Amino acid sequence: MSAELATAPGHDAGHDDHGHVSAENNFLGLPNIKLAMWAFLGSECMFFGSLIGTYFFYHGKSLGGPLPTQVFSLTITSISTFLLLMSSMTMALAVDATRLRKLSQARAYILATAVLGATFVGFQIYEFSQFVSEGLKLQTSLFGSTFFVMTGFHGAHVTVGVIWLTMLSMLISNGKLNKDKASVTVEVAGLYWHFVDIVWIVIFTFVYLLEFIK
Amino acid sequence: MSQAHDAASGVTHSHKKHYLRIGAILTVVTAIELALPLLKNYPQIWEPARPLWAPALIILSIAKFGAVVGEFMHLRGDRKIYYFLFISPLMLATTVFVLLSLLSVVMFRPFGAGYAVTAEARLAGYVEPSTGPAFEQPLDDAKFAAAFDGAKGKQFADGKKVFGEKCQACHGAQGGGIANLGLNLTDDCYKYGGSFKELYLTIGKGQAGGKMPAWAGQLKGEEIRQVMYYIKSLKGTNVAGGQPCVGDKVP
Amino acid sequence: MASVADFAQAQAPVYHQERPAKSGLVDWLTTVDHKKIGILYGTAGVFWLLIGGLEALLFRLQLAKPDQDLFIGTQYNGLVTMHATTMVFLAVMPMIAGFSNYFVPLMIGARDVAFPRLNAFSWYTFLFGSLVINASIVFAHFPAGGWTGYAPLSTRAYGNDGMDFWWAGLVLLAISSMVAGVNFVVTILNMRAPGMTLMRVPVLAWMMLVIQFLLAFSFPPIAVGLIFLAFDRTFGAVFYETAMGGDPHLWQHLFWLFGHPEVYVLILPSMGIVSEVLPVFARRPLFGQHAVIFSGVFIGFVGFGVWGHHMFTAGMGPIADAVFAATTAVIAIPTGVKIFNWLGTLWGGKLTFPVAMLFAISFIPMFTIGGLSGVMHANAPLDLQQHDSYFVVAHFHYVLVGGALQGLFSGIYFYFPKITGKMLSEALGKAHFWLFLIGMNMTFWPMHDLGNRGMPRRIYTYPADAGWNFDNLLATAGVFFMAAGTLIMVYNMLNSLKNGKEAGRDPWDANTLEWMTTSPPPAHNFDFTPVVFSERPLFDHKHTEDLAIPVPSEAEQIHMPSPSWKPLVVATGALLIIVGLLLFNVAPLLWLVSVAGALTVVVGIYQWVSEPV
Repeated sequence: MSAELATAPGHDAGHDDHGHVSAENNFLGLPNIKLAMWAFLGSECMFFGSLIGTYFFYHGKSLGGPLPTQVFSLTITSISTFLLLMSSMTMALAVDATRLRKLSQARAYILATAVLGATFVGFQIYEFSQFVSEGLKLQTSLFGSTFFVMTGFHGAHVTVGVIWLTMLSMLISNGKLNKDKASVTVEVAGLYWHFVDIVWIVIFTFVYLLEFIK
Repeated sequence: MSQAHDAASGVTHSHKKHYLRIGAILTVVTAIELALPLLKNYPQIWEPARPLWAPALIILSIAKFGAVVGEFMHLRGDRKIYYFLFISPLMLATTVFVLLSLLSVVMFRPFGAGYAVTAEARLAGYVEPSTGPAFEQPLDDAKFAAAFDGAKGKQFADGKKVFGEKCQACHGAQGGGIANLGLNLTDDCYKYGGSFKELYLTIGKGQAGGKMPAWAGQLKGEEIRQVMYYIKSLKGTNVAGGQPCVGDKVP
Repeated sequence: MASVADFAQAQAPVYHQERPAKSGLVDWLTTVDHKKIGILYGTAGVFWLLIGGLEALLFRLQLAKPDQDLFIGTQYNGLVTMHATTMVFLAVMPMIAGFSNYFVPLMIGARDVAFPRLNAFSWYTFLFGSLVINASIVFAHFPAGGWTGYAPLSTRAYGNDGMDFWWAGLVLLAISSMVAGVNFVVTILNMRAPGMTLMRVPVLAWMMLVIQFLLAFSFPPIAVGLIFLAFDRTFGAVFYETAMGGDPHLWQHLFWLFGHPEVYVLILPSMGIVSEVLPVFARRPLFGQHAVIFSGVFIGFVGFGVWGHHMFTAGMGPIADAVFAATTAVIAIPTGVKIFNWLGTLWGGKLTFPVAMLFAISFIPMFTIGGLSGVMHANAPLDLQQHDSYFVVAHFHYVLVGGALQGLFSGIYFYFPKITGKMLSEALGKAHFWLFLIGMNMTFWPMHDLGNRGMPRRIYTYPADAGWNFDNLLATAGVFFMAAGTLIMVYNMLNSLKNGKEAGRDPWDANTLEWMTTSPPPAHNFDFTPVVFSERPLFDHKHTEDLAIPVPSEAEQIHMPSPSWKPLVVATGALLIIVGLLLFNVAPLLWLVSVAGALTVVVGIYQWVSEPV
């Protein structure tokens, strides 16, 4: 073995907070931020697993009404579910456009995603207010507590995603996110966004639809 | 290959069509999911395949989940380390989810083992403990009364047997009660209500902070019903040496 | 043969930051340097160790003799709750975080962690969390629901205003730990020096990798449990309201689903430290290094499947009990493997006994005692007898004091020269060691006996004729030995900062990369990026002629991350969100503080991503 082999002075593993330092110097050749996002989503799996698990731990144990079937409106929820699914698609298109270095196109898709997400949150606020008017509050029953906290935290995640996407589009507008940085940055935001969508896929099926199938 | 690798290797074709196709598939699957509950209106289709609908929904949602994770998040074909970072906690979270859901059935049993109950029945406040679906019905006073009136001697004999095993230690062999232990069951007074429903719940859930134990853990729903009928048959027999009347007189 | 001093000949490189570091207090407030953050964590850990020890001392005084009334009722419960909370979350975990921050990047040959500013954010969230929990003594009283916070004991129905501060602080600590967990997972996976394959990663860094996974994946369940508690206490939700059908088991599941992996978070780093210290002072490679690593990984995995053994008395039913008993027995196997590996390392070695080695050696039997009394609890029927008795107290103190804490002490004596460049006094260190070892056994050994003779946990006094007098007196006396030893250690550290002998790069003739650089290391850690050919890279450099003198041909430009205020700003925002929720109980309108906090977080993050690093 030669001394040159032992030193490799050009190597400088990228430390960074948003993954724009080239990933090739990293040990796995992968961007830090993408690894971090997947690990974070793993952590989020445990978070939502516990929340949804608690909902079913207490399912049917409420000592008073209203019951899920009495308050759920499949029409409203299926519209908002559809919006969130479509936002996932526009997000995927945004990532695709960033990869092709078409930033203005990507920005349009990102904004569309944010608008769809915000609409979903709007639907959720409407749904919550409907439930409250029908007598289901956080304090009413186990169903009320578990439902509002579970879907509320999902809604909070969507809200965080909307803020995140808005920031991204601002960063693209004022040129702080150049074409080299954008690919990984938008992709990672997309991972988060899709995760929020799959959580809703689980909640929609298990919490809403199964209630109507019995 | 992953998109990151596509970009690195200079491949720049768009995946737009692919994503649009996935979006369309997701829409169709969601529409099918939404249509499923509507099938209830067609009993000739709904009833025969009844056990299949819930699993079908779950499979459809897993398919959607897989499509979003595999295609939109393009985990499919990406580096294995991402699989490890995401799928292992996902499995763990799924296990937690399943365990929490199961434990609630296994552990949470104010009515004893095998407690299974519809939410409606629980809300009505009257539920029989039983493993069988036949008993997952609201307790119905009128039905009880009809059954009581039509009951043959055997029913009371079964109830008497249960009474001898579980009740007489506190309520006395004749049901006349024992001071500081059990109330008199042979007068017309019921401290905790004298209707069938109320009697049933008193036996099942217990009273007086457990001084009257909750028997649902040890007796089957059928046995509680039998002993309830037997106790009801004692009403007004007023055995000698019974404890004084406590509670409201029930006609 | 080349010596380590030869590295000094290497030309010092220039490093470059977008915004150069300021000096003094501003430097410490804005630092993103993993070494400075490590020192901050470590200092906080030792500080809270002293506070937690003081709390233990106070309630041991109450228990020294029967029928005393120094601290009774809520006061006593508060001391016990805070002793455990402080020791677990505010003393041992930050000390671990300190080692992890300072040494993981050095050990794997990196310049910093993957996300330096996120690392600073973790530190501030931790700091705020620790302050919030302890603020309870100023604004209300200490939380008195036990460190396990069992609902409904922790709900509003039992008063217990201190519990508000408890959940608020723990939520911040949970955020801190989850963020740090993700950060370090990425660091260890992706920031390794060229050639450092996973099997060449030092055992301490490996154990840190395992616990970062545990932190990232086990904190969410307790975060959820705490959120439920917060909603119950603040907004009147009914999660733990038994009158509304709530089930006390829910909290226990969520808590122990976190709580048992947490036990391994506390012990695995100490196992890692011992695995680093023993080979150096036995002058032999670690016996079966891969077995030690895989045992740690196995413990990490199975650690998620044993939480039910804390709940045998909760009535889970025979099937669940049997499953958890089996998994608990299984997890003893990898632990046993490690113990034999350490013994195998010592066997036939040329042993020397500096203080670090003394602590590492005494770790083995002390931890084994705790481990043996622990695996006894895998036996569900036996556990029913021992549950909530002093036997359990003896068990987990042998694991956490004899195990975790002694391992960390060993690490302090081993690594202090690297962190400060000064040697600690061996004489004072030995005084610390013997006082601590004797005191520890005086305090915790009699507790086995107390437990077997029926003394329950968490009682604030006992009658004189219960037969527990002598054991309790002995236990209280032991605390003074431990306290004296720990104070000697603190004095030793402060004294050595001024008067200590110069340590040099490699005072122990060790094998891993952190000893390759100067003591203390420069901001950029290594003048050149090390290349690794085995699990003992420094040994290779010292003993292989070709690898001996790595002199870069010209000074390199190293880009280092700039200091930043943003982590402090965002952490302050998170603190405000939590404080707003606490103030909601005082006056509902004060929830606006939470809104202000959320805005601070959003604006802070936007500036965070905008600033050049």
